[in-house]
Amino acid sequence: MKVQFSLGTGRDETINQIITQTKLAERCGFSHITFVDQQNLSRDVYAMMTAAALNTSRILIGQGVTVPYIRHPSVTANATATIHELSGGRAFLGIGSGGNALRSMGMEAHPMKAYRDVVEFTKRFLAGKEAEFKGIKMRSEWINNSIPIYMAAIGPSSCRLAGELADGVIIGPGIHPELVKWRIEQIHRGAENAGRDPSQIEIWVRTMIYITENKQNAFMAASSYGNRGPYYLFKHKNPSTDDLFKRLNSKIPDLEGLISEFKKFFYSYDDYQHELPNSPHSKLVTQRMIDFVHLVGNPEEIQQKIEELVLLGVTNISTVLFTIRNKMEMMKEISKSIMPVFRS
Amino acid sequence: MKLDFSVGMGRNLTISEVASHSKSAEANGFKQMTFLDQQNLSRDVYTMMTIAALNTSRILIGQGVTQPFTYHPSVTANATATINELSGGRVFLGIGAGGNAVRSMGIRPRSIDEYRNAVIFIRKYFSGQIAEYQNATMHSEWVNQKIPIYMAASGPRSLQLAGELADGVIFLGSNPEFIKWQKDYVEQGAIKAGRDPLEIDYWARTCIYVAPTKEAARREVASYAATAARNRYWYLQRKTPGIENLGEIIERAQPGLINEFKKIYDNWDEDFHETTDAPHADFATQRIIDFFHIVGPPEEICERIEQLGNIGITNISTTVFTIIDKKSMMNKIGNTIMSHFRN
Repeated sequence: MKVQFSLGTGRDETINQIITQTKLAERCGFSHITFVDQQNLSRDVYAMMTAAALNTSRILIGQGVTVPYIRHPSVTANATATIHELSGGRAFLGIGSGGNALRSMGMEAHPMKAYRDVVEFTKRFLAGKEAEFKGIKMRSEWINNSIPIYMAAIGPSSCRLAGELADGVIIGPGIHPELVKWRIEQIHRGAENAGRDPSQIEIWVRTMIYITENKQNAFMAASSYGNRGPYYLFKHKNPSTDDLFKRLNSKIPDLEGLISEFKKFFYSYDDYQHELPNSPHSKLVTQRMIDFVHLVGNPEEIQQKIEELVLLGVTNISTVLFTIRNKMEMMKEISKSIMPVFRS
Repeated sequence: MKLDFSVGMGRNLTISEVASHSKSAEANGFKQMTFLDQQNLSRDVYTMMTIAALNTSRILIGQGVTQPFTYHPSVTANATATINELSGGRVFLGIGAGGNAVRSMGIRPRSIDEYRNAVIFIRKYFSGQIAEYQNATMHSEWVNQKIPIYMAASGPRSLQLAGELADGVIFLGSNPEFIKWQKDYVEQGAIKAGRDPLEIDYWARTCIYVAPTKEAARREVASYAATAARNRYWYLQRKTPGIENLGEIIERAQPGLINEFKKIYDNWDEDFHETTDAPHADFATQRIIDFFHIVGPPEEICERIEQLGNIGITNISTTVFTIIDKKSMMNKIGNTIMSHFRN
């Protein structure tokens, strides 16, 4: 059974720490590395990607994920293409709808149509064509690249949009097989509606792998990442999410209770403690929330869960280091005890 | 006479050329280097600055210049602070109200109020305080740095604003009457804000081209002079007392020059912005070139730089955008010009 592993980092590293981590990630066999784009919390994403490109030779490099609306999309495309040129063709563009990032700045989230406009503009601009955004036309004088676009998706409409437009979709948070299956169905529906072959789309599951014999050891790291997202699935009711609820309800005992835990967490969230260990809101996280979102346990347990995901069509397990204290050790451990099982 | 020299680049460098050009700038004694921020024309400014920081140890690094339109100012501040940390404190922020980067997108530059708000936001954000921009408040979790802010300015109000807020001001051109007109407004703004105008670093943004004759410089400087002339003509159309006064000053000093600017404005092709052999550069007369640039044999160049030093310019900021052999020109400037202005 074959699956790739990618790595997300950059939450609070200096550029020099990024260089060390990136070199190790490449040696450990990760296929891709992504850097967060959170200007109030982390170092600049393009400085991180530049440092990564200069210090590696094989690993693919992208944003995990960039936020539209804080830069003009031509700036984002130009920066990505610059890193692509610098790295000998190893850059990809990871983009999200920007909801969390905008809310954390006290701004309104943008509608799905805006996400579509940004991605469509970006594809044309990267191809060297004239592109239009908000009524303004422009084109690059030097870019003519084919840079893959990975779109982050949580709910049904972003999954379908990504199925229509993206080379790869980063789904998450959530690793429950029924949820992943449902999301892949949405992506495939979007692809089919656009006349695309769904099997050509890469599917990444964004999670945190934490290898430990005692789940209690993982609690601090796993409780401070990724637990806000699931509630978006249940916040707004529509036929697609009703279907999801029904399907999950048949697999998860006391789903209502689990959702109310996610809800309580969602409304207690402090954006300035985003992804920080020991934040006050992370104290509200329960073990079943963590098991819904992360891959925590001993190597055999984790391998078994990954196998289930691969059977559903997942092509890349995208793990993050953000809140893990000993990041270098965890990378090595994943490389040693998880990756070898999934090489062929 | 002591003067500093800085160099602007990045118009058409591929990313693999940035490291060697940065090293060359440092080796030839430039105090600062700046990189363009023009996303439709040039490589990404923060990638260029990161590479420059990793390949040098003394030279100061900044944007030449960025603007508060294509980025949220928190993104600009965060990227600048990241490279400041990486370089051991060698970064400054270079910012303008828009100019070409914005105009090439068909949009008007930011208003003076927006320019002011962006600069005030960035200064607070650098210091780690809560800052507000367009009704959203935020702060950085990790930035707490003192990073100098250099403001590009061209009209009376932006020049006064720079006098109020900036650590350094970037003027365009090399004509002493024109520079003096700009500097007077900066000083007024500084005095009004209770600052000592002598604290401010005054840059004249130009293009030095060392050659046996002025004619030999023409091909590689005409395009950038055309850019400056076109922008200046656009500006001179504003009917405000300050701008009309500038028009009179220029017309008195060099009758007919503004009409020469107009020919470039009328024949402008945005796709050849700052490229060597741009078709509109054919309209750049020698008078236009001399108004913005400093070209010719070393003795003549030094004499013109002294005139600028005499009116209070502290930094001669040359650019290599349209120069074909950029490293060789940086070397010639280092050897034949900068050596005269060490003390």
